Parts: sequence; structure tokens; C-alpha cells
Amino acid sequence: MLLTFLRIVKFALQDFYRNFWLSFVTISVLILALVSVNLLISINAVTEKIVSVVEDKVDINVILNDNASEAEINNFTIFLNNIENVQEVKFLSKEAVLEDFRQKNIGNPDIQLALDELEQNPFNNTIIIKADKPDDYEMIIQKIKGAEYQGLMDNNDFSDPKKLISFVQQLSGKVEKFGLFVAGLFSMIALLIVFNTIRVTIYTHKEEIGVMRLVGATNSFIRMPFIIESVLYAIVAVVLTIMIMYFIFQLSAPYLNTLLDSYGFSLNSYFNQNFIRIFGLELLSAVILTIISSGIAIRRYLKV
Amino acid sequence: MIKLRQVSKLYPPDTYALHKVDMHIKDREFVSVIGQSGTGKTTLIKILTAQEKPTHGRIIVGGWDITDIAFREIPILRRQIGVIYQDFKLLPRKTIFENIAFALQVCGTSRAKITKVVPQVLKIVGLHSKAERYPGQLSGGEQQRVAIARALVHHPQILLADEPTGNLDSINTREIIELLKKINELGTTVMLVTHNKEVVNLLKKRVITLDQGKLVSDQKVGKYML
Ligand SMILES: Nc1ncnc2c1ncn2[C@@H]1O[C@H](COP(=O)(O)OP(=O)(O)OP(=O)(O)O)[C@@H](O)[C@H]1O
Ligand SMILES: [Mg+2]
Repeated sequence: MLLTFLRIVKFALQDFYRNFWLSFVTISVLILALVSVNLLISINAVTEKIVSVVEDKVDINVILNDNASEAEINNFTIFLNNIENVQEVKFLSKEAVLEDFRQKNIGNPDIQLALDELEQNPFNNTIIIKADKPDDYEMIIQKIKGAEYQGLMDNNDFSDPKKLISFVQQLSGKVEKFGLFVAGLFSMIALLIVFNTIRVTIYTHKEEIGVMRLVGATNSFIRMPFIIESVLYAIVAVVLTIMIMYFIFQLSAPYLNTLLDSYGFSLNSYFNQNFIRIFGLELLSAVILTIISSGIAIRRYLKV
Repeated sequence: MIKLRQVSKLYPPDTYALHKVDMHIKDREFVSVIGQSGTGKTTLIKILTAQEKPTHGRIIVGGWDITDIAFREIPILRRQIGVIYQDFKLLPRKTIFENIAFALQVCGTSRAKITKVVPQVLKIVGLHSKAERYPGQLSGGEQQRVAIARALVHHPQILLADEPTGNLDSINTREIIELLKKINELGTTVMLVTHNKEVVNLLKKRVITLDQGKLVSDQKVGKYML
């Protein structure tokens, strides 16, 4: 049994080498399909991260004018705290806002200089409101606009942070759809190529197959090398894809870092964490799909 | 050893390659099958090796009714029947030794047994000195002897030969026929399909004649009459 299996593997390896260019092309196309799937996963991971960062960052800024008294501000704060779905209400004095602004632009000497030259604080006292969910902002804004505290506020048009989030989501949705289409297309092509490769391999082995039949080789012995060969394609393609992906991560890291590094995100670590789930699943599906497609070729072109 | 009862093979729409053929070939017999082109001789071989299924009738090989043979039992049948053809069906990129060893490898035979059996069968056909050559380096007659050696690796009870001398000159033809006789004398039932009048007359063995799929004569010591 083991002997038979080893011989089948040996025959499959021989096919693999003998039709080197055919194997090469097949594996390349498989890699193309797998890489596009992985890029899709990468894009997904990045946009998901971006959305969550944006969600975390958005808030409503209510700018208070200078004649608001402390008591009035206190009442307003209590009012805001009582609105449904408000997660947090934070009061920032104009000094704190200035300091915050200074810190944010610490790397920009022009701004620092300009701030130093100012005689008085250009900022106002500000209240920052965070909602539980991005969807809640619209309702909160309505409540604020309808409140009796209009006199305290300097600004009246609050931009709905939800719009920004849904813009990011829409964009990523479009990218995802396109990616899905490309990955699907490449996968289809890859399966057709595998089908054709096995067909050609069967054709080039007509004589051997004929002899095998003549001398009473079992059907599985005749067919198995072709199945093993296609499994080999899948395995080699997945392994090379993993290498290519980590290379791509290396290349893209500088760009992504400027965007997301401070949030502790990199594709490298994302794929590391989900290594088995992503590549294991890809290996499994690549093997299953190539077996199916070579199986169809065998069924059609290999009469036993 | 081989029994055919009312065997017909219809190739749609209306070609009866075999038509109600009855035949009984006993163990260790040597039978020639003759007939004009397209009369069903190759079809007979195909049916005996389960390459084709008969449309009607029953076929029994070595006591085994193979009429409705299961797909996975076909290899077992084929190991009991050696077959050789006009074109020797040798693999050109393998040596003679490898060609014969291949037949054993693909049937799961151990390496030790292969190194024992291959020289044995090569000795029977008288080619053990040329084991390392490639088919292209042998004469047609020698190539056919290699094919015969390969057909013998499983010690078949039956050897079917479909015009084995069709590509050979008369000297090589005689050699092959002598070899088939020798194999027959060693205990294998031989069925020889041939066009060659000289061969049939030389053999002085049983001759079955087919005509348009029908068995038209069966002579104990036949002469080529067509
Ligand atoms: N696969 C097939 N499909 C349809 N018809 C076939 C098929 N194989 C054979 N035939 C027909 O069956 C008949 C018998 O063919 P067969 O090959 O048995 O003849 P044969 O006696 O071996 O001839 P030859 O001496 O030329 O080899 C022929 O008329 C042939 O055309
Ligand atoms: Mg024929």
C-alpha cells in the first residue's frame, strides 16, 4: 500500500518536472489568484482598522462664547449628559484647547511662532461630546440645536461625523467589490488552467496510460498521479504566495505605517495573527478546488 | 478457458461487429482467429479484456463470468490475460528492462519481485542480453518479443495476440510464432488474430473464421481459406 502510494507520488513528481513550463504557468496563475485574494483580505483589514480609528476619533465640538457663565455651562453640560446615547461630555477651557493645538503642531515651527506672537488666546471654551455609536450623532445634533442654550454657543452648524465614516465605508465597499471581482476572475482562470494542464498532461501520457490499462493497473493508480500533481500545484502555489505576501507587506509597510502605525496596526502582524485561518483556509480551498477541476479533466479525458 | 455464448456487439446505429458468436476454447489450446478486415476480430479481443461490453450474450473467462464485470474488477481480469498488438505499445523513453518493470510497478509489485521476474520473462523471449537498450534500438521482431515478455509478467492464463506479426517480415514473423507456440507449450492458452495465410498454414492448429461478425467456420486443424 505504502509502496503503491510512493510510486504514485513519484509518477506525479515526474509529470511535474517533465512538463516544467506547463507546471510553471499553472502555478503562476494559481499564485495570481491567491495573491489577489490576499490583497483583498489586506484591503479589508486596513479599511476595517481605518473605520474603527475614525469611529474612535469623531466627536461633536460645541464652541462656547465668552459670555457664558460657569453656572450656565454647568447646566448645559448636565443637559448634554442626559441626552440618550451620549457616551461622554468633556469640557475644555480655551487654555486647554490652545495647549492641545500647540501639542498637535509641535513639529511645525511656523505655527508655534505664530502662536507665540498672539496677544490673546484665539480659541474658545469648548465642549466635546462623544456618542455611543456613529449612528447616534445625527440625533444628538438635533437635540443640541433644539435646546434652550443657543445663546451659549458660537457655532451652529455641526458636521455629522457619520458622513465621514460612511464615506470611508462606501469607498472600502467599492474597493472590496472590485477586489472580489478580480479575485473571483483570477480564481476561475486558475481553475481553467489547472483543468487544461491536467488535460494536456493526460494527453502527453497517453502511451503510458494505455500500457497501464493493458497490464492491469488499478484505476486509482492510473488516476492518482494526476490528482497528486494538481495538489502539488496548489501546495507550491500557496507556499510561494505566502512568501510573496510577506514581501508585499515589507514593501507597503512604510506607507501604511505613516497612516496606522500609531494605532498598533501592520499587515504583517495582522497576517501573523491570522496565519492559520487565512493561509490554512486558502490551502484547503486551493487543494479542494484543484482536485475538483483536475477530477473533471480526468473524468472527461481519461477513459479507463 | 474462454466461453462465448451468443455474443453480439452492436456499434450504433447498425454495425454488428460481432453477431451471435458461440465459441469454446479449452485450457492450453492454441487458436487462430482469421477473417477479413472489419469482421470483428479486434472487437473480440476488446470484449475479452473488458475494453468493450457485449450488447448481448455471456462471456466466461477462466470460469469467471465477466459479462457484467464491475469497474474495479477489470484490472484483476487484465492481469490474467496478456495482450500484444501489431504496434508493440512499448514506451520509447524507457529501456527494455524498464518497460517490463513498469508493468509490474503500476500493479504494486515489490522491487525485489520485479528484479526477479523481469529477467525471467526476458529469458523466455531470448532478450536478456538487450535489457538496457531502448525500443528504438531493437528490430521489429525484437520489440514484439519485448511486448510478449511484458504480457507474461503476471503469468497470465491466456495470451491474446492481435495481429502481432502485422508489421514484421517473414523471418521475424516465424520467430514470433515459434515463441507463441513455446509459450503455449509452457501452459498458456493462446488466441492469435492474424491475416497471415502462411502463419495459419504453418501452425496446423485450430482455426476460427469470422465473417461480418459471424463465426462461419471452426476447424480442428485449419487452413487459411479466404
Ligand atoms: N468504436 C467503434 N465504433 C463504431 N464502430 C466500430 C468501432 N470499433 C469497430 N467498429 C466497427 O466494427 C467492425 C469490426 O471492427 P474490428 O476492429 O473488430 O475489425 P477487425 O476484424 O479487427 O478488422 P482488421 O482486420 O482490419 O483489424 C468494423 O465494421 C468497424 O468499423
Ligand atoms: Mg483489428
